[in-house]
Amino acid sequence: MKLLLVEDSVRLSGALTSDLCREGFAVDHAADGLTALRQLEAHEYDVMILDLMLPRIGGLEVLRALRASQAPTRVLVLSARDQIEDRVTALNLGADDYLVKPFDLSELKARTLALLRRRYGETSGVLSHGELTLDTNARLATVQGSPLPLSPKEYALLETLLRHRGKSFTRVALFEQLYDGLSDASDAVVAVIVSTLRTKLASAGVDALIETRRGFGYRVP
Amino acid sequence: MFRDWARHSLQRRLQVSLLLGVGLSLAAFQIVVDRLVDRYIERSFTGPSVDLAQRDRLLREVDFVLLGGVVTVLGVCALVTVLSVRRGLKPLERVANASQEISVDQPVQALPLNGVPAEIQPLCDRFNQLIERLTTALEHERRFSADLAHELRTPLAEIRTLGEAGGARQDVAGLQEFLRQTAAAAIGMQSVIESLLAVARADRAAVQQALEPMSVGAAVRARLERLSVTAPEDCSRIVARVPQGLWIQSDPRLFDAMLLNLLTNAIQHGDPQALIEIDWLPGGSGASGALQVRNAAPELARDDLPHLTDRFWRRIPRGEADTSGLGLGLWVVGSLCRVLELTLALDLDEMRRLTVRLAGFRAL
Repeated sequence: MKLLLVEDSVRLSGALTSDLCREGFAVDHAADGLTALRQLEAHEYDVMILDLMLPRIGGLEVLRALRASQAPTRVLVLSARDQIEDRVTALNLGADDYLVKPFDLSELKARTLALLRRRYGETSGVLSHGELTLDTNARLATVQGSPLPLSPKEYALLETLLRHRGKSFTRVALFEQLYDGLSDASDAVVAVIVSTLRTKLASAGVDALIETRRGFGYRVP
Repeated sequence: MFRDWARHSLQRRLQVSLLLGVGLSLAAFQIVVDRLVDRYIERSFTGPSVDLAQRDRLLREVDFVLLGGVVTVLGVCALVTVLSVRRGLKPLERVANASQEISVDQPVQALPLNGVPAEIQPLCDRFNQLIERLTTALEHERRFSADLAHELRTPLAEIRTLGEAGGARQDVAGLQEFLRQTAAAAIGMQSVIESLLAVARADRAAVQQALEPMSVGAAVRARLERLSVTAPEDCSRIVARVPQGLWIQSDPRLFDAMLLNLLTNAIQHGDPQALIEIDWLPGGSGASGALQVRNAAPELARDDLPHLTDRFWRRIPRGEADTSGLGLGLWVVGSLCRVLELTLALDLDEMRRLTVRLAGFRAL
């Protein structure tokens, strides 16, 4: 779950990044439109949270460029502009949702998760595999109804693999999904997270959920 | 004025209508009478003798024609008058209807000027000018309110999000950092509100009558002391060269508001490493002086200077993103300068140092 937060307010972006990272999102931040465009060219994001009044290149231009590139990234516009015409313009340009500042943090997260579900064509907030169930809204994993205590990164990794069942992810690909671009960690951390996740799943009675395919990476069959 | 005009206009139209009606009726009457008389004279006086009864009938008929003519003239006059007045009042009716349709909830339309009498044209023109000015002012205020709402929403969103995100923090250091940032966001918001209130409340006539002696050095020192609490790192970059014992005649509250906005502008938009210099420039005659604030502004171009005092104008940086500032500071300074009857001058030298000079302070 890779997010791009495009917001020129240092304080607001700092607080949002901190909170979203704590929830297990990998959040990259761009303080202006030009940096946002560069990051969109370099990475594929699941959701972009986009301010409209940006230095250098405005938010609507960023949105236009993103839609022209046919990228599947969902866009949540987060703006202080509250006029109907602003919303209509942004939605007509390809924004998927619009939230006016100031906003409720829980509402922002709920809308982001809703966009994430739409990105992968899911109708409910539940991913399941056998006795394992993931509530993507509550960000809670359960086995036979009992909560499975996972760290945000473990949960994010499990959600990514379950969301793309059958698809193999290399260590680097998983690292990009779990960590932001400024992270000091190396992709070796993915192996550690997979290991601890496997242990927790096994202790809950879910064995051999995550396969290792030599040369291809990890997957949930 | 309007009543006089209406009276004169109607009188003139009535006179014209009457003259026209009487003229036309008399002409028609004259033709009819001439023909009748000619016919009877021809018939009555061509014989060998004159029939008295026939002559009396002729006279009666002439009397009848004269009476009928008078009645016809009066009728025609009345008809012409009514039609003329109605036609003359039609443009006025249109203007009156257009005036009645003006509503506080609807966009104001200009009064129709087609067919409006020349006498009332200046009145309508003036009214339309007022409507145009009113529409411009309303649009200006609407845009200002939208801009202000927009600029206040961002710090409000910062405060709210910092509060919500910070509340979930468990570590004390992280929590303290969130609190510090929340306070900074609140101070920024307070600065916007106070600046706007200072401008809104500053009445030129009242301020000019209430000027009082104030020490420039003491005012600058007091401002720097307050700034050292909210922005200690930036405050250490400020150098003030104001002579001790310098007294001027001004408004201390507005002076402080201007100085605060000048310094905030320099801190937010200037080079974060460079000095911010405050100088007092004595006037040539000693009768007036100027306050000058200078700071390095590497992102600024000379083309930007005319826009610096525009409300909510934000420079698009050429280098790193400009992450702060609401585009209000120098607009506030410019507005307060007009209230205090000071001259605001902006200059950018070759070293890209922005100099803001407020001239015209009255020395004691």
